[in-house]
Amino acid sequence: MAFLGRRAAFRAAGKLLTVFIMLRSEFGFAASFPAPALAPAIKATFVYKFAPFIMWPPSVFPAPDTPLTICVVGDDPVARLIDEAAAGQRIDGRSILVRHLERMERTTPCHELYAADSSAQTAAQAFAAVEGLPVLTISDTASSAARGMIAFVVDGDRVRFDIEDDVAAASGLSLNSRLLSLGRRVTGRGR
Amino acid sequence: MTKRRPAEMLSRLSFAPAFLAALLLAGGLAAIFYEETLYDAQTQQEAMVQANILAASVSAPLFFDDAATAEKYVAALAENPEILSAAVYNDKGQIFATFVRPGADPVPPSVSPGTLAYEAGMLTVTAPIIEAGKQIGIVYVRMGNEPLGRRLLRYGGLIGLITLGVLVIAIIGVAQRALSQQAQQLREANQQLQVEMEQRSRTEHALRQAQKMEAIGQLSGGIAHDFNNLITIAKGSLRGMLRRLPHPQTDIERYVKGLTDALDRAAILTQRILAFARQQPLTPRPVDLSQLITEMDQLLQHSVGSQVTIQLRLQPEAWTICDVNQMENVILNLAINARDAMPEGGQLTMETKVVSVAAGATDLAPGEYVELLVSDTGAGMSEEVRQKAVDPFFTTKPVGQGTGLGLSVAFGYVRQSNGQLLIDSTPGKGTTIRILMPTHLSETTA
Repeated sequence: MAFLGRRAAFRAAGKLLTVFIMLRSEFGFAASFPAPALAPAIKATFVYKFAPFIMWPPSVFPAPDTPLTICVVGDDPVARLIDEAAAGQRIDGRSILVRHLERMERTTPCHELYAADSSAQTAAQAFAAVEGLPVLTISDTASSAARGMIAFVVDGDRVRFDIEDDVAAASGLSLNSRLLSLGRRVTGRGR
Repeated sequence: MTKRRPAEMLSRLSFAPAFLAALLLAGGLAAIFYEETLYDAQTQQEAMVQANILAASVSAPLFFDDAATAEKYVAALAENPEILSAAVYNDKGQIFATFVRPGADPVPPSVSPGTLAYEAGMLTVTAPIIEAGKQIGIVYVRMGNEPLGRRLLRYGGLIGLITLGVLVIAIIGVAQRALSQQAQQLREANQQLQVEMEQRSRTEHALRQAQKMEAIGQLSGGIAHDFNNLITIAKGSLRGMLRRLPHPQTDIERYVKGLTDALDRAAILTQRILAFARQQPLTPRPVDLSQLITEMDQLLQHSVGSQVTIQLRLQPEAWTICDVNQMENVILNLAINARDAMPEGGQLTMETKVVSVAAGATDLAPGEYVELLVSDTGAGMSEEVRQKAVDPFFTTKPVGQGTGLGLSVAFGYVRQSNGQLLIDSTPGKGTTIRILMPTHLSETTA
């Protein structure tokens, strides 16, 4: 059954590929023409694209095909686009599972957590729930005051991000230096 | 098996340095060619490494659409002077970041991954950009030729070394050639020295012979002269005695006649001795030796007898200057000697020709001479006999048949006429008497 399920996921990926390509071409457009409306979509793709640059403790991926689980809490433009962006994508052979949650609990198994403020839980509360766990926390400075390990910023007309490498390290995550080199501001470097 | 002469071996050896130099040069060129090939392979490898490094470093910026950072990485390639241009293409084949050195061609609008191509001395390499297990773009790197100066500098050491080697071999070759030339000269000098030594020994021998003949001549001449005077006195006394004899006194007359005959014979003998001693008066005049022999033909044939055939090989106009009567005597004497050497018969050849005598060949002054060759096919002489043949009173004929003065007189006469008499003889084959007389242009120039 699991096999069939995977085949179905592949078919869904095929359907969504066209949408994705359109999206990507719009990114290319964004590089030369400032279009603030596109920023949430770019941020949404970044969320899953961070994955190859993060080294989680081996225990969180028990099997080679354990999907990469992205938990989303709250409701903002980025949160709404993450499903679309990650649909059909694979990271180093793993499929991506996006879970939208009312509240983030410490027991919820996640690899990444994108949090925006909501009536049920603020971003800060969501991040506090997973503090010390090997979960990459991501926030958007445009919609919340709380900052995860990675916080999106718009620098001029470019979408960039700040990284709190020391917090990530304290949570048992290791961030690839190539990712760190792209950060607008990186804390805790040179440990 | 042929024995190689040292000179040949030397000339063969002088090829060795040239061969060595060529070998060294070829080896050096091969080394440079090999090095160049190796260098090309290394350049390819380097270009591929560069492309892969670039691909790895721009993968994150490309992944996160960070063109500014990608440009920074691409521009960093400017540090390598051999890189002319570089570019990053995204997964849709669009140019994401570029670096083009001033003056270089712009990057192509699209590329395919895995390219490795040489074109007009430039190397083009592309490599895929992989991120999260997917190809997300392509990097493109174009490298130019290494500048000529740097390339030459790279081979400078090797070229210098080869040049030095070739130079050393060339010097060795030149030295060897000079040495072999010197050896050749030395050999030639040695040969010349030997020839001169032989000539000198011959000349010395001839001189000794001449001195001996001179001494004998002076001695015998002096004796003959005094003896001739005594004969004259004796003959005068006999004539006086005859006049005073009462007539008829036939007995005494007969004795006196015998005495007078003996004195006449003694006078002839002294004349011959004087002739050998070159002390007899000569009346030289120009004479064509060939003409003279032709005129003597009958007399010669008569003298040698029917068993000996005479062959004449006469060159016309063999003019010399000499006393004709004495010359006739000499020729007749030589013919008779030839006949005596051929008791069973044979051939007598008389030959005249004008020859030129080189300096040192005989003790004559160099120049043109009339040569008279009198050859027989007779018994010949041993070397011992040959050396004594012209000595006065030396004869191989039985006692009473020869005076031993024939050749001596001929020798004395020829010497007195500024000529030379030589004897060639091989026992059992025959003898050739060779007389060289000074030439005279013609009868009228006397």
